[in-house]
Amino acid sequence: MTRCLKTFLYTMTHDLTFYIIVIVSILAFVATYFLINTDGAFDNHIYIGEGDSRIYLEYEKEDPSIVVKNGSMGQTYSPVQPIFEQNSIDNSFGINNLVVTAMIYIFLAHTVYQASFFGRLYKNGVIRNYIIAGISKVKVFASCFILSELLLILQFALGIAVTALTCAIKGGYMIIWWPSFALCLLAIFLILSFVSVCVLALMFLSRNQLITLILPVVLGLAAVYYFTPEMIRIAGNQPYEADIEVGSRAYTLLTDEKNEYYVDSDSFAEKLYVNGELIDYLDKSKPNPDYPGDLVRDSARFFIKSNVMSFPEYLLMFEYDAFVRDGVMTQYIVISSCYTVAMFAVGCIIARKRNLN
Amino acid sequence: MENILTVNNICKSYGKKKVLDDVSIRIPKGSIYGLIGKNGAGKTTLMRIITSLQEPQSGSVELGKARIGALIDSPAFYANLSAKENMTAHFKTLGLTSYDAIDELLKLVKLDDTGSKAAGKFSFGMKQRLGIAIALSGNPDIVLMDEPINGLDPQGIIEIREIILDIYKQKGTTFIISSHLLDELSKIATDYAFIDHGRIIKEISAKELIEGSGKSYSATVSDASKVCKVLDDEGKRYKLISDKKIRIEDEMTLAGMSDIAERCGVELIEFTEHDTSLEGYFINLVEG
Repeated sequence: MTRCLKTFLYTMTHDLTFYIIVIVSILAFVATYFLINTDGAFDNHIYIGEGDSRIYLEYEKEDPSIVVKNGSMGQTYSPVQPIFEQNSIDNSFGINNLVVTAMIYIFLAHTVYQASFFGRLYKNGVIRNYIIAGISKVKVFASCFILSELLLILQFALGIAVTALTCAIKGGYMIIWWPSFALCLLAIFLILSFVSVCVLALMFLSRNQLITLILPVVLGLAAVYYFTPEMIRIAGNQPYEADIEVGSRAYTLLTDEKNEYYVDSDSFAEKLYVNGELIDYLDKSKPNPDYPGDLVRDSARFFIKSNVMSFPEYLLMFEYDAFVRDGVMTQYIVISSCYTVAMFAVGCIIARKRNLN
Repeated sequence: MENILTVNNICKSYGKKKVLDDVSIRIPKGSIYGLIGKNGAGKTTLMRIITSLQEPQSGSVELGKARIGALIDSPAFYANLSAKENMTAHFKTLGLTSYDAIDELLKLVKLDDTGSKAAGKFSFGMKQRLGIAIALSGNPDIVLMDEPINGLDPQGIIEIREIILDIYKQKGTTFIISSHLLDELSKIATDYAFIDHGRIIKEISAKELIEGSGKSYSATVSDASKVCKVLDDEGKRYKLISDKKIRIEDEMTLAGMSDIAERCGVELIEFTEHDTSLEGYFINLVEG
């Protein structure tokens, strides 16, 4: 397999398209930096009333330098009034969002390049040379996969280096939530690996470069559509777009020496809908007695799987709470690892069984 | 003679179609082994199985420690790389660390002056020669070539033939070559296997083929026994096939045979000269 990898590396580095993809990767990060170079913040408001008479019960703001600000902006609240929650979406990207966003573009470029590079094995019949040289089809397949992963790592590393350099020159953002960000990158890497191994299996199955060129784009777009926005949302502080219906909820005005707080006084329920489908139900029973104003409360969460999701994304996308990060990432990593390993095994079987014509 | 490669009872089917049916051959070391058969006879499949490109349903290939190089179907190379880069890539595939032999091989196949030109832009003959150089990389003990001269112009055919003979004489490499151009194959092959409908119908050395040949003629007459007497008188070698058919294994012309028939008072119905070339041998073998 080492021989096969050495040959792949040699042919890759003697191929103009390899340098094109490197340049595309760099440009994707630089372009993304400038495209989203607007400072902003994540706003979450809970309020009563409409328009100018709006009264904020909770006002939460995040920016890269100040993780969470909580404040009570209000007046006395009458529980009979309806309560609204607003999650506003702005272009408040941290650098981690920037990196994740750029991954979308490099991933598309990667899948097309991968299909093109490895498709030549069949198009030119070069795979015969490897087999005749005593390298089994499974080893060729595994080498393709390893090289594809190496290329992804190179693109990731390039992206982060270019972004760091751009930030150093132009001034930029702080990297926030490093542990989550690292996990997010790993999850993205694994999801892209899964798509990569699908592309390779497809190539061995179809032996047709055109199909191998077209379908990766479809797979890539699907991955981008389903997975990457979720990653962006979880990796950074960008709020999610969702309609939240706040159920019976009441606030009590508390004061300390300096501030006033409106805190939950009754149990209430929160329901999260996506595309009209109930996917999350949160029952908060009582306020935190230790620190009035702290958002952490004793709560009971009921997870309801959404029916609108279909295989395989429902397994990957079942947590919509932007404030729960590491747990979600772990789920992503575990599940996408399982998919990658399973698909790799399927790919090996396909490669093994496939005759060369 | 020692065999460098033995194929034992290979069977291979594509769906219900049996492509190879209990094929067994023995390739003598240091031979140029011609594999002869019609389209779809199973030559390419047999070569693919020998080179591990396909797996047989049953049977085995005994190769020992012999290393194989092959040019199966069209030459396989990276179209975007130059001849030298393709050779370097293949040397890496073979695990070779010294690249000194690349220039020598490219010179042998007359591609040493192609520079950085992409192999995809080569002419058909150049591509074929590059395929041969790739097959010869790493000094293989056996080189398989499937229709290596198909589609080449006469000059190209001569060049390929000379390359094969050069390597054969210099290094004693064993070649297995399939070709439709039997006349061309007969100029270099030392051994032959004839394959038809997935079965090996004859294995013969070039020496045996030459010894067994010699002109022969078939004559169909109204009474063969009368003709036999005249042939005996004239000391001609012949075989009586039936009461009307004789196979004459000596020099004979149509005029001569007509004369004999006239003298015997029999009617000459048919007179056929048998082709003793490789092509003729093959046709006789396959078509009875």
